[in-house]
Amino acid sequence: MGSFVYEGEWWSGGEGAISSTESSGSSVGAAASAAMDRYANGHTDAFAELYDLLSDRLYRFLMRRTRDTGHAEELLQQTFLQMHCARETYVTGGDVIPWAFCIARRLCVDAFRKSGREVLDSDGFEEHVSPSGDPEDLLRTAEAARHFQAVLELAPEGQRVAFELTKLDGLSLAEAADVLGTTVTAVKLRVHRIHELLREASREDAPAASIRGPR
Amino acid sequence: MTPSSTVRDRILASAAKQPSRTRAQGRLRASVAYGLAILASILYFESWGGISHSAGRPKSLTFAIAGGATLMALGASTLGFWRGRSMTGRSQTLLALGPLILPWATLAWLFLFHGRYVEPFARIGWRCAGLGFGCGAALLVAIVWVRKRTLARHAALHGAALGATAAAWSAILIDLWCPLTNVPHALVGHVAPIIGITLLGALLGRLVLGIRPR
Repeated sequence: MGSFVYEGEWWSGGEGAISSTESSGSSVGAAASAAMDRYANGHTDAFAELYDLLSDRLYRFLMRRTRDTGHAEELLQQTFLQMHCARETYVTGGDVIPWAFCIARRLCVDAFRKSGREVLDSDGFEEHVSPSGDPEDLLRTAEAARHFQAVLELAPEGQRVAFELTKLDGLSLAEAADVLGTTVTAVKLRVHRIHELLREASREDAPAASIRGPR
Repeated sequence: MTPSSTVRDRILASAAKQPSRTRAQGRLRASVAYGLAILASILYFESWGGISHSAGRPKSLTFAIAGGATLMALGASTLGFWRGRSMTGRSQTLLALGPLILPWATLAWLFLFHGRYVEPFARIGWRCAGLGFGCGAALLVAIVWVRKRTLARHAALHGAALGATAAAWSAILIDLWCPLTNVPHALVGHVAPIIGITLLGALLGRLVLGIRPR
C-alpha cells in the first residue's frame, strides 16, 4: 500500500495526483434545464442538445455502478427515453440534472434487483487521477484509489451515493439532496461521515502520513 | 469516459420512434382526465341525493364543516399533488404527512361539531363510506393515470399521498351529504374511506406510478 494523505475535502496520493472533480457545472445545468424546457414545449431538436449536455456525466455515473460498457449504455438509453416519455410533466423552471440522475439511479437499482446482483462502484477514483508521469507516483495513486474504493464499498449505500454524487459526479449539495429525496443538511452529514471514514482509513494505513481534518 | 458514438444516434432514433406528449398536450390530457373525474364524482354524489340529504342539519354548520374539509384538501394537495419546482417530487417526510394526519384531522374536525345540533337519524356509516370511496377512487384513478410511469423514487409513498389528496377532496362531498358527526359514525363513514383510498393509492403507486424500462 502506497502512502497517501487524506486532506479532508479530498485526498491525494503523492503530490497532487488526484484532480478535484469537475465543478457542479451550474452553467451546464442551466443550459440542460433550458433545453429540457424547450423540448417539453415541443422543440424536437432540443433533445439532441440535452443529450450532448448530460450524457457524459450520466454515463460516468452508470459506468461506476455497472462496470460494463454495454449495460451502462443500455441504462443511459433508458434514462433518456424516460425523460423523453415524461417530458409533458417537466415543470417550467425545474432542474433537469437531479431528475436525470434520479431516473438513472432508479433504473440501476431495478436492473440489479432483476438480475439479482449488486455491483458496487468501481473505478470511480481512477478516472479522477491526473497522472504526473512518475511511475512511482502513478502506482501510489492507483493503490490509494483502490484502497479508498474498498473503504467506500463498506460504507452504507446512502452515504456512499451522497459522496459520489457530490464529489465524483459534480452535483451541488442541493442537487444531490434532490436526487436522494432528502435535505441538504442530511447530504452534508452523509458526506462528512464518508470523510471521517476515509480519514480513519488513512490513519490506520498510513500512520506517518500527515492528516488534516475537514475544512 | 464517454459513451460510444453510436449510442447518441441510437438514443435519438429511439426517441423519434417513441411518441411522447408535449407539455401542452399533457396539460390538455390532464385537464380532460381531472374534469371527467370531478364530473363523475359530482354525478355520483347527486345520484345519492346530493346536499339535500343533509337537510336535517343547519345549513350553516354543513357549510362550515365542508369549508374546513376544503382547507384540509388544499393542505393535502399542497403536500401530495403539487410538486413545486422539483422534478423528483417532495421529500418522504412531506409526502407522509398527508396520509398520516388527514384521517385524524378529519375525525377531530367532525367531532368539534358533535352536540351542536340534534342528529336527524342514526347510521353506522356504510353509505357514507361507499360515497366517499366511490368519489375518491374516481379522482385517484384520474391522477394516477395522468402520472403513470413518471416517478423515479418513492412511488408507493407518492401514491399514498395522492390517495390522501383524492380522499380529502371526496371528504368535502361526504360532509355536504351526511348530517352525522358522532365519533363511531365518523370513523366508519368518513375516516375509513380516507384510509382506504390512501392505501389504494399506495398500491396503485407501487404498480403504476414508478418508471419502468421502455
